[in-house]
Amino acid sequence: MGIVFAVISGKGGVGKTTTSANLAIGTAMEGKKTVVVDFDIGQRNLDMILGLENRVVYDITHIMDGEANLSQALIKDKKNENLYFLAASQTKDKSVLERDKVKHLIDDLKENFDYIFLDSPAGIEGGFEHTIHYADNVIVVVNPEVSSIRDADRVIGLVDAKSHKAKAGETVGKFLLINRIDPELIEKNEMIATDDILDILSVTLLGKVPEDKRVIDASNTGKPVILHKESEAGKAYRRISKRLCGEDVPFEDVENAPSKGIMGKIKGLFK
Amino acid sequence: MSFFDRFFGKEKKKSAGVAKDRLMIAIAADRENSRIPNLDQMRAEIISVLEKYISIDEIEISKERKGDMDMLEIEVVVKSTG
Repeated sequence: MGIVFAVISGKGGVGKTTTSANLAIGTAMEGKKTVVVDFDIGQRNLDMILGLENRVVYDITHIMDGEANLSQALIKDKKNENLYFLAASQTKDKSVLERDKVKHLIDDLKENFDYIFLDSPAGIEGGFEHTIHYADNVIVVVNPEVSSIRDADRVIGLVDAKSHKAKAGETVGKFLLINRIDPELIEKNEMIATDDILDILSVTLLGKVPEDKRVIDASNTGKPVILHKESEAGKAYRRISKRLCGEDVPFEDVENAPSKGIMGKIKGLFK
Repeated sequence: MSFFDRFFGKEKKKSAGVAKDRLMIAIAADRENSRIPNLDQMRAEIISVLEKYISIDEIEISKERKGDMDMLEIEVVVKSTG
């Protein structure tokens, strides 16, 4: 029976789709049979990020409408035989998602895959609820800036209210992924540090991903950063994926904390 | 403000600390506003009362604070008969 992860955020543009793509590839690299589903109906993007946009024939709305079955709509990745992808439609609107049909789809996926990632749309409408309903865990993607953190708190507050698992008295895992950390700004105390974000949101840290210009290049070419061996963000996603697969990996030192130097240490004494 | 910060004239508080303080206050207020005990039950009861008289499409309940006044806003969308 597979494990379902909903990848959510309050605010848009924080890197949900990038995270979904990279973690799906990462867990597939770890040998888990993985599927990643784009739930952002009407704004499909995951296909581009994965470089699979030319392979989409059927999407999730065709499954909802009964025009295609799951095996017809699933797209197998060329590079990794463990990785499959289910696209969102670019045209139809969110109302095609019906709760019973979504449940049926997710049950099917759980039977056939080890790891199921649901790339949620931003905010709290439509597709977001569908990804929460049947998720075993949620991964909340946040950037170290005020609006993203505030909106994340709002969605975290909604998870238990919307989750079937929570209603049945079980615990839904809530994990935080801090994306786009700028070590220089952290060093200068001009960006909110991880510990402070965890203080405010009180959720479990899953991982930290540094700002990395290669993410743009990766989306340009449809080759996610986790496949770029020299990319810092890619390395972080690799480690987070291993963590998701149960490996005990120490947290990424993206903030470069020890490089304070002698003056920093002396200053520390006088605080 | 540490001794050294003062010594080197760094009087201004760094913005990460300002962000944290502002967030703590904003989020505490958000949480307070979104917290109504037994909201689901209240919603269900309101719906059952209203449905004796009209058909309802949607009901939205939100809590708001205006100045020192707490307001509970209940928005009911009535099913169109057309």
